[in-house]
Amino acid sequence: MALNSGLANSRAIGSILLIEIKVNEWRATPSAPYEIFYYRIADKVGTVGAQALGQDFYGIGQLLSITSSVSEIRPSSNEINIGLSGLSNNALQEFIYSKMKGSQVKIWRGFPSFTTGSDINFVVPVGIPGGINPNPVLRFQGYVNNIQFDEEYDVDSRTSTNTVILNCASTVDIMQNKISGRRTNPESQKKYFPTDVSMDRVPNLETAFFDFGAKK
Amino acid sequence: MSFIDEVLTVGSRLFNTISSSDLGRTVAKTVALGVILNQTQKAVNKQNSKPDVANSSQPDRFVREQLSPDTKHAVPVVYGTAFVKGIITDAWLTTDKTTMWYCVTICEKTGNTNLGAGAASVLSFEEIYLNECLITFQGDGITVASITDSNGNTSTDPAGLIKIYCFNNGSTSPVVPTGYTNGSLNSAYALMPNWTANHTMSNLVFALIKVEYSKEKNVTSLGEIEFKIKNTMTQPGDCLYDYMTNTRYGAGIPAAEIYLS
Repeated sequence: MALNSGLANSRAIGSILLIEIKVNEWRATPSAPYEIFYYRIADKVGTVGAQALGQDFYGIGQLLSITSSVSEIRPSSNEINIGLSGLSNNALQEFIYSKMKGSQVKIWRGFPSFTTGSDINFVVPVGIPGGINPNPVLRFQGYVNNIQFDEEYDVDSRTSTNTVILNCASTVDIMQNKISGRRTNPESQKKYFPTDVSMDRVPNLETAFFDFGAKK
Repeated sequence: MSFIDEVLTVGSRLFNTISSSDLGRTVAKTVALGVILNQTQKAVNKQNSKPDVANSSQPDRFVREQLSPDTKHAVPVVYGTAFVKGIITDAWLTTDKTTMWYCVTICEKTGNTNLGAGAASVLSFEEIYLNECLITFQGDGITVASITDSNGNTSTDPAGLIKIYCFNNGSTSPVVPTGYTNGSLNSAYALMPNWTANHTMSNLVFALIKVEYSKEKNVTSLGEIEFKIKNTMTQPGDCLYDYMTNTRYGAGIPAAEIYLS
């Protein structure tokens, strides 16, 4: 069996995890206006170029941890945690001032170039056994469900480093949770239609009596 | 002769019979008292059991109605065809206390067909049931003409007393049930007492029901009402796409994240 020329020359195959977090309401200071911001990070040191995605990812190496995800034939609910360690207090601020919950998360697994070890632009043609196409491969798609801060305080230097853990729910999880919809009460109605007063009397009607047919 | 005359007659007879000794008088008085009480009770009972033709009509006891709205009720979504009972979200009693108005919220107005790129979905009222009896309307598609149960028995008791105004997309979208036509339909806030233009019932399918009180026709409350709703959105892909992308009653997934083919 003929090997692809690129694979035939390689001595090892590694993989890199790429994470993209799209924060719709991001800001670095409490008074700054919100803007859309992308966190693009990888679990390798140095910049990782992903040709297929048209983006570069900032490698933070061992400071990034991701819990394992499952791969099944049909979509299933899944939850992962992304840990970002070694953050200074200043870096922590933008997580506090931004609205991280609900941000879209995508995780790819990429196979790097044999020569540079970082650029993910090597694509084995389709049809060859062991071929990898596309590269990188989308592994997880979901949303930030919750955010957790852990502080490690160094008494000697009187400084602290922080860990941010992003709890992410897969899109399937979101679909299972979000089935409540609109409810027949004024708060729910005004959440979607602020000037609509159609449901305003529902709470009062629960305890009301109507003397239907009574003589005046 | 009234029952008082009967009691006095018996009492006087007994009193005249016993008048000799004290002991006999005491015994006689006790017996007489018992007899009088017995006769009195009988006479009262007899009087009560007499039919009084002149005053036979009972006072019209009104219905003290308590509704069952629910602030936690989730507005359902209908794809294809479904039976929905709806829930009361507003009610008014007119000042003469003879007419009740109810607003029954039925379901959500859904999005566009053809994976969101086609025509707007249309929800229609196929049939309406009152106390499990199918309603037949008069020509206006609003006023009840008769109701028919599952055995085919028809009653015209509620005829003219109940009116059902249907809306398939908020207060300004009046419709009539399938099979009827009416060119002069009003907005919901032009019908429902105390409603204004801010009662928009946005993106809701609902009905306003007007009930006129009639003890003779046994129309004294709304009863159990059920709607057969038909949505033109029937294709599975359309329904899934609509549910996945809708931010009000669905999962709110951005359309860009859904691969369509």
